Amino acid sequence: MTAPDETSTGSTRPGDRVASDAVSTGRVARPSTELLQAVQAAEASERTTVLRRLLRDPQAMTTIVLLLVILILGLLAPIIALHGPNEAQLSMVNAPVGTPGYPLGADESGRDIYSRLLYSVQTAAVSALIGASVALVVGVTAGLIGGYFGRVTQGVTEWLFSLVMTFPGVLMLIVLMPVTKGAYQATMLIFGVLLSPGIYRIVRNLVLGVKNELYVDAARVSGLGDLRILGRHVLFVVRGPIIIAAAFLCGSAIAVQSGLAFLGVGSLQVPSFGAMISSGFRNLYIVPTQFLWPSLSLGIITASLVLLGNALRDVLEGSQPKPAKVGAGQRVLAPEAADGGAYDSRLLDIQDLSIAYPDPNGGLNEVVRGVSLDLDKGQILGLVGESGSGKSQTAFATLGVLPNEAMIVGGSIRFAGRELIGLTDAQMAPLRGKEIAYIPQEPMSNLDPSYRVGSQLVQGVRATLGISQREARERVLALLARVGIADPQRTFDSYPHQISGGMAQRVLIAGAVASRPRLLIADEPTTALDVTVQAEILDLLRDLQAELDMAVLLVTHNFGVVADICDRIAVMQSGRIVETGTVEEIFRDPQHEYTMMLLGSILDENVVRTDAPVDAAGGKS
Amino acid sequence: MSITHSRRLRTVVTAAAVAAALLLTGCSGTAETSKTEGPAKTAPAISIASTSAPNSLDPAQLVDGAQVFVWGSIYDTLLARDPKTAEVIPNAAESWKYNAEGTELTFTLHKGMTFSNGHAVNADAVAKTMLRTKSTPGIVQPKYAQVTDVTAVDDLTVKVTFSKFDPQFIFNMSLGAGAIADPATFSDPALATNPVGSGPYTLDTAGTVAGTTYVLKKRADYWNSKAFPYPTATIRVLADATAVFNAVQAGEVNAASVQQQLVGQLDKSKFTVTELKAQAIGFLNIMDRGGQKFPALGDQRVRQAINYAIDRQGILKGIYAGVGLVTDQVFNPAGAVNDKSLDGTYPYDPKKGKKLVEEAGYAGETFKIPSTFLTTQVEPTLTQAFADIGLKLEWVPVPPQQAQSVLQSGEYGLTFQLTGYNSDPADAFYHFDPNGYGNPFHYTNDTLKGFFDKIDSTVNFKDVVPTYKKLNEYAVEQAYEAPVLFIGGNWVTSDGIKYIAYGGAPLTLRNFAFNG
Amino acid sequence: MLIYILRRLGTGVVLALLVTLITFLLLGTSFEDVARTILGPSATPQTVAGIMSAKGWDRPVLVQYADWLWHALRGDFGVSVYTSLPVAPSVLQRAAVTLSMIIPALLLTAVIAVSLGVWAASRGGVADRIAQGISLLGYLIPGLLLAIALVVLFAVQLKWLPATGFTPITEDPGKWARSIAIPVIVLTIGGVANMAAQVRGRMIDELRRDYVRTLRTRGISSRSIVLGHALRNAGSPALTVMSLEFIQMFGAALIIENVFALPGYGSYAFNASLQGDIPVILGVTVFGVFLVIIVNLITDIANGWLNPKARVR
Repeated sequence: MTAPDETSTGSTRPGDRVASDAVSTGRVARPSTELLQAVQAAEASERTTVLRRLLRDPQAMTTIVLLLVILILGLLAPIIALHGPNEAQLSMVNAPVGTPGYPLGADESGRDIYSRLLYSVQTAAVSALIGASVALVVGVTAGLIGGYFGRVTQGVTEWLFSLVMTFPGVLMLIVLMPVTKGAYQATMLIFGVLLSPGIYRIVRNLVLGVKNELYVDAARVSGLGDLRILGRHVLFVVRGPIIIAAAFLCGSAIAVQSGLAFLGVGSLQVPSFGAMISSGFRNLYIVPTQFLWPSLSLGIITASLVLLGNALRDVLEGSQPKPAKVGAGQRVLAPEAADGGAYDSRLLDIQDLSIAYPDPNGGLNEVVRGVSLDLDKGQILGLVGESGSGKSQTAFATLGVLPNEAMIVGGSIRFAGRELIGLTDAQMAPLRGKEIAYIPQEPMSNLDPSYRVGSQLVQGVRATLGISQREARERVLALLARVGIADPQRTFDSYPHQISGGMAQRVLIAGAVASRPRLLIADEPTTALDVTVQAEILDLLRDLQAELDMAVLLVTHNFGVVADICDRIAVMQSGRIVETGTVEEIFRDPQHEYTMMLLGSILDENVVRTDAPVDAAGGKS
Repeated sequence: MSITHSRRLRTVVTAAAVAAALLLTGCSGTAETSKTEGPAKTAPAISIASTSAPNSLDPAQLVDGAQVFVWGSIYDTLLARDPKTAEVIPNAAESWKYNAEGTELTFTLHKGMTFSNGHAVNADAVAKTMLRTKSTPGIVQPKYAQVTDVTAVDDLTVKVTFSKFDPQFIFNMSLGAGAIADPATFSDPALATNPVGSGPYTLDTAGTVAGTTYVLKKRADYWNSKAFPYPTATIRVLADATAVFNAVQAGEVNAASVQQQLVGQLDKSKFTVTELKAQAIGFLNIMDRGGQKFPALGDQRVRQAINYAIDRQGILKGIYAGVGLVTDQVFNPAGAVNDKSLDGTYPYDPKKGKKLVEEAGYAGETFKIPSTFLTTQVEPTLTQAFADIGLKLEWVPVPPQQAQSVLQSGEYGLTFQLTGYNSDPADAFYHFDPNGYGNPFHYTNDTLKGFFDKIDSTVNFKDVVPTYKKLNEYAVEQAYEAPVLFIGGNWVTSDGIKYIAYGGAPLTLRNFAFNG
Repeated sequence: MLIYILRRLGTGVVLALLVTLITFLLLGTSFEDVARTILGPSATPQTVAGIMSAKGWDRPVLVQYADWLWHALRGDFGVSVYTSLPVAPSVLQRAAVTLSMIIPALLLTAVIAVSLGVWAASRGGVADRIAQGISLLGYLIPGLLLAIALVVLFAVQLKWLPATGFTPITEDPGKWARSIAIPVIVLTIGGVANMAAQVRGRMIDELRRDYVRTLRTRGISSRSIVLGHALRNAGSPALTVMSLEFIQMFGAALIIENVFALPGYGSYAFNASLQGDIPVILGVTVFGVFLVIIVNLITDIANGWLNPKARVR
């Protein structure tokens, strides 16, 4: 079993993904509905204490109970065992299962297997205790120090642990046999030290992440000593991953101690699973069950610890997302009958669309409630609303790329007369990229970091148009030039992390319009960009729209963008469309209260605000 | 040693061997076999499972044990032990003679023996080998402790001069101390890994993997060819009993020592099982029999109590599955000294033992005793036995590399040992002589001195057997040790091979007869 | 790139020095025990002293280390105290045996674990549960039991595979494959149990990323997304897991070598440690250290190939 996974950042809490994306792209995304849903769910679950959550998780409870029972049985060994662990009766050698006084039989020396199993639990528990605690103490302390203090200290700890990591594992334990004399406590101590680099890495990374958090700065400023900061604030962050790591460390320690005991290292007076397996193995052809009992026990304990580690991870860090069938299409509550009719001529016709997410209590939480909008060829519709109003959800639903948790609970989406709800990915594929295209909001996280920009675009083009590699390449280069990139070849050959945000967005636009789609869905295309670049991108979009005569569904929260290029506007609040109309109508004469509020909050340098500052509370968060 | 896995080399060697065989026997035979005069069927290649691998093949470092399978096939020893009677018989030396005081020993070698490199085996080679071993620190050196000089009187006569008579010497000539090497190779670094000997086989380096597999090819020009019918011998080192059993069943070895309980699962029509009653001895050595550090052990009553406390039959049946013999004495039953009438001196009687201990006033004493992988199986039983007579045993784990030093350290008064046999004189020396390694506290008294004076001054072994017997009787009565059992074993063979040697014989290929 | 490799190897040499020094110091007390073991029961203080001075073991520990180091730097790792066989060729030969067992096992593990992980992550539902079940079984089933069952079936009954022993690949590839078949199976089962879960987790994470969604909107096939994009990005952490697994297998191989009588690196090191054969122990340790370093180096380079951001210029 491996040491705790040092490659993970430790969690995939929704906030952490935002954070990690922020680190990689340099920008923080505006919270999407999806994110908000996840945060809400997390909040709801965090309102219950860790203990409560632990108690509710069946996997955690089963394994904890199982391990506790085993541990208690082991501790009670002196009372409930039928014989001493080394008490041998010659007449009982290789006694079969079910012999009176020897329920699981006796081994090659006439010792009671059942009793030895109980005492072996004690040995395993001590091994786990020593190994795990040494690894944790050394790793956590060094990780805290290495992560928190300056570069020099970090350099030293890095070097030290590189050294420890270079010791070839179990081999060291064997090589040092003359020194430890095989005593398993000493061996476990060394093993703990050998395992500590994994813990060190995890802790150090976490500490580095937290070190520059505002609350730590605040604590520093307010005069709290380093030690207290470390102890109170930083340690708090670290406790989750440590508890999880502890479970895996225990498993490792027990497995290694058993392995060594199997090989005969260490005192033969100490009952352990390894020793029992070894003697059972010698008698394998004679009495096979002697091998079975200790192997099974060891296997159960090891597996339980692994399962416990996984369950702890779920409980302490939020549920892991479950896998879903790729290509299955969006989840639909009840496939609606197609409703033909008067709107067939429209390019995009959304009727009464409702989308919901599961809430922590098992019910459904609607985020889009009965949204209807339509779009004709060549029109540009601006879908406006605050963060979390459900605008992007509507866009995703049209493309068929809602996240797996989402469920369409009602309505219909028709594209050129064809019902899109309920289609699988394979059925949507001919439409995507070719007929309906998408420009995402955050350019950097929407490019595959492992592939060159050019190759990603070429792949998309070939998938939709089925042209040759060379032809696709030429097309893409031309597109890159068209979207305003100065040196198309250079960008073609670059990796995403080598180009700027503005360029990345242009690349994404190029990829979207490559096959001359009829409908372009742009999801806040300028939000993540610098102000200067925003205007350029908008110009580009306007030009492309005119050239290709595309219908554009422009999702945005920015009225300035709307005023710039849209024909019509639909305003969304809390999942509902509250007002639609042409741009002139909405700007000059807004009908709905919410629209008025939105327009009123646009800051204009020419107007001095006369209304009183609004209280910070209120409004949808 | 460089391991070349060259097929070509192998074919060349085989071809040369075949050519030589044809030349010598003058008949045509198939490529694989060498025709021998005895059995009508041709002997197959023999493949033996051995529990340990030879460490060094340097003649000064030869270890006597399972390792003899390998080095005993490469080197010839001056003398040998008769597989059936255990008597010392001629080998490379066709005769030997002592002077009256036993201070001069003369060997006469066979004529026409050669080393595998063609050099002649002569008295000079023997003398130089012996002198080299005598001056090289190592495991064989102590066997030459009493030797003052070795000379080549003529081409085939060797004279060994002693400072005083060494009763073990003749017997040692059948083991490592009697190996003959070619002086021309003494400075060759390959001496320890691929030596030149005058024995029946040579090491086939192509197929040999040190520590795992040793392939031996029969020499066509060996002087005693017919005693070794097998054209090839492969020694496979298999330490794990289950692995041995698997190998036997799968036909990968055709001679192996197999656990008693597993023997029953073998198909008797395919395999021959030969049971040996006594291959080794398991005994509790009461090292501090003089009570120097542990006064309790100096009291005969306590020692006898220990002998009464051990349930020998129970151990034999329970731990060793009945393969072996219970015993109250340490001498090999196949040898000349063992006296059957002494068995039964100490029947299993813990009550009597307890009384003796209380009488002696040592009830409640605790004894530390080393614990190694050899003692695992008996530890619980012995602990129980001591408890039964009111004494306490405390097992102290000792890592294998300290096993030797621990015995000599004087820290422990008792130890449980499993040893093989050597020869009667060697065993007597080991157990009871003040300089014996089994007597690390160097205990002796006038009676013992008297016995050894006689032993050390009587040249003819047969003449001094009665003294040995008296020594044995005395030792048993004094309970200097608590022998538990002779451990037997089963040799499982197939393909017409049969194990014919007595338990405790040196492990040479001589022990395997073909077709009975 | 070359400089990077050289720098890493250089660090490796320094680390190897430190590790061997520490090991040497720790073992320094055992020389006398080794001398006694060589001499056997006949050891007397004089003969022990004789051997110790003949072998140079009565010198101060640091002096002995410097001497060893001086020779080691020139490729001479000395000879075994017991067998007189030169250490370096023996270590390499034994390591080759173990590696010829571990590398196939690792490759097999990777293939199976990635397949299982990808299958579970991209199918969900029943497939996911089956994959997790297989993983769990891997933890529960004692590898040794399976090994024996396989031996009884394939070696004893059917005689398709050998029960014991090893044939080098250079001698006979067919026989070699047969001689390592069962050990490889045993090693793979343990490895898959571990890796499959990791791969599954990573793949699930990757499939939820933004760029996957964007690729879908381009009309790129699910298959291409899962195998070409998500798997490649998930590959980087998976590679690290694989390298840890590799080092671990060396430890697991030790037990297997004992049971199957394979003349491998693990049993070589183990026996040397039991006997206190110090030149061999040091040789084995040096090899072990370099193995770790090289594996880490390869992992980092492969990581760089997979993950352009991590590339070293």
